[in-house]
Order: sequence, then C-alpha cells, then structure tokens
Amino acid sequence: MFGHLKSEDFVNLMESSEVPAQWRRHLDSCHRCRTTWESLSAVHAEITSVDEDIPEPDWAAFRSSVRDQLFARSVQREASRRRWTRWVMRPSAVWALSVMLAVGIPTGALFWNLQKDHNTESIGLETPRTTSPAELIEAGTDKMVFDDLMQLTESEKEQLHLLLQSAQKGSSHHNEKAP
Amino acid sequence: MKRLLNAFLFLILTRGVDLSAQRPQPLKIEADILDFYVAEFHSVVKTNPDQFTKVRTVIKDYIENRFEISARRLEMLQQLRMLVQRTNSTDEEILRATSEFDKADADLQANQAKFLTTVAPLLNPRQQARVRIFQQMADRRLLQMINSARNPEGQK
Repeated sequence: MFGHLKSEDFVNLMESSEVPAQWRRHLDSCHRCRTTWESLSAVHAEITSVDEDIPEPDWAAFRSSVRDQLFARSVQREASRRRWTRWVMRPSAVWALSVMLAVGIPTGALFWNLQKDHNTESIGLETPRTTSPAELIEAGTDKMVFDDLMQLTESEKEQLHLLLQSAQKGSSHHNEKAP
Repeated sequence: MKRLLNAFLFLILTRGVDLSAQRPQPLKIEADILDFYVAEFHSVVKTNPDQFTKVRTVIKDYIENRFEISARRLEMLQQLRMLVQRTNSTDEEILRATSEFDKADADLQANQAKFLTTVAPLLNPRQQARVRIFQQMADRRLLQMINSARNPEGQK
C-alpha cells in the first residue's frame, strides 16, 4: 500500500510547486520522511541561493565583443597587407606607371639621340683630322700664319706646295669635291 | 729673203719673250693657298653650289688681301727693327714707320671684318658660325703645314 517517499518523489516534491495532498499527509505523519524532506529542502534552498548570487552573463554583449575583436584583427591584417601592396596592386597606380614607362623611355631615348647628333654635328665630323676644337679656339694664328708664309724659302715653298697638294687629295678623298 | 725671214722670226720670238716677262707670274704658292682655303671653306661651312660660286670670289679677295697686308706688315716690321737699331734715326721716321705698321695691323682686322660681313648675307646662321670655325681651323692647319715644310725631317 502507500509506503515511505522515494528519492524521485522528493525531487518531484522539490521541483513541483504543487504537492499532492496524500504526500503532505504522509510527511506530517512520518517522522523519517519529514526529516529527510527538511534536510533536502535546506540543501535545495542553499543551492538555489547560490544560483541566484551568480549573475547571468550578458551573452549578447559577449558575442558583440568577440565579433568586434575578430573584426578588428581582420582589419589590422588587411591594413598591413595593403601597406605593402598598395602601389603595386592599385589599378590607377599601375596605369600611371605603365603610361610613364611607355612614354618616358622612348622620349628619353629620342632626346638622348638628338643631343648626341647635335654634339657630333657641332664638333664637326667632317673636320676632325688632327686638330681638336680646343686647339682651334686657342689658335689665334691670324697674323702669324701669313707672316710665316711670306718668309718661306723657295725649297720650303716647294715642300709646302707638296704638302698642300697631298692635303687637297686627302680632302677630296675624305669629302666630296668642291663644286 | 732669208734675212728678212730670220729678222721676222727674231722679232716674233723676242716680242714673245718680252710679253711673257711683262705678264705678272702668279706665285705658285698663292694659288695653292687659295685652293686650300676654298676647299676648307666648302668642307667646313658646307655650301651649296650657288653659295659656293658667290663665296669663292669673296674668299679670293680675302686671301689676296691677307697676302698683300702681310707683305706690307713684314716690310714695316723690318723697317722698325732697322730704325730702332740705327742711332741716327729721327723720331719722325720712327713714328711714321710705327704708324704704317699699326695701319697694317688695322688693315688685317678690317680685312677679317670685311670678309665676315660680306659672306654673312650669303649664308644661314649655322653656316656663319661655321665660318668662324673654318678661319681658326684653316689657319691652324696651314701653320702646321708651314712648320712641316720648314722642318721636313722632324715630321718623319
């Protein structure tokens, strides 16, 4: 028939707000079951108070914080990667560099060639022979040349004649003949 | 008849000799120098045929004047040396010779300026610049050849 309360009956008694009337009557009449119930309810009350002392974590704030920190780290990594690859990978920089190279190199080569031609022409390719431009500038022989020429002896004039003839031949070989 | 023929031949031959003696024989070296300067001018200044025809006469005048002025200058220099060495030379003589020498110097400069101003209208600016180079270079080369002619052994 109806005996002492079992363990599961005590648990049900603690968790359920409504206690069946027959269990209440048995607890009142049975000293053993009442003593057990009182000790269990004291422990239960103690555990319940501890649960109430621990505040419930704010899971929403926690999730938000974790998300923020993960996002911050990813942004930091992205920034450091962009610092290295900013000028190489940016399309506008790539285009500008390409245009600069495509225009700059041929233009530079053209100017270099023009400068070289101009320098060659100014020095005078057709008149190098044995006299350098520096020697020509410092010559200043206007008066002395013909003075010396007038003072040559006949043999020296003959020698000069031969030299001039050979110079004319060399000149006609080197350059086109005067019209 | 034979004597007449001989007389005629004699007259012809002697007349011919006289004519050749009267004709001034251009110095061979002057012609060489003129050819040299003309060739140098064409080579350095790079004239076209039309320019060359016009410029050639200007170069000819320029070179002939240089010969004439240099001869005069050398003669006055010789006179100056003589007047300075002579103890009995008067101041008037010395001043006149000095003035003649200075005039020859001035004539050299004037001949130079005349040559440049005469050729300038015939040439473009680049060619005008090359004329200055031509003058320096041609004089320099000629001086080298004069030195070689004076000392042919040293050039070997």
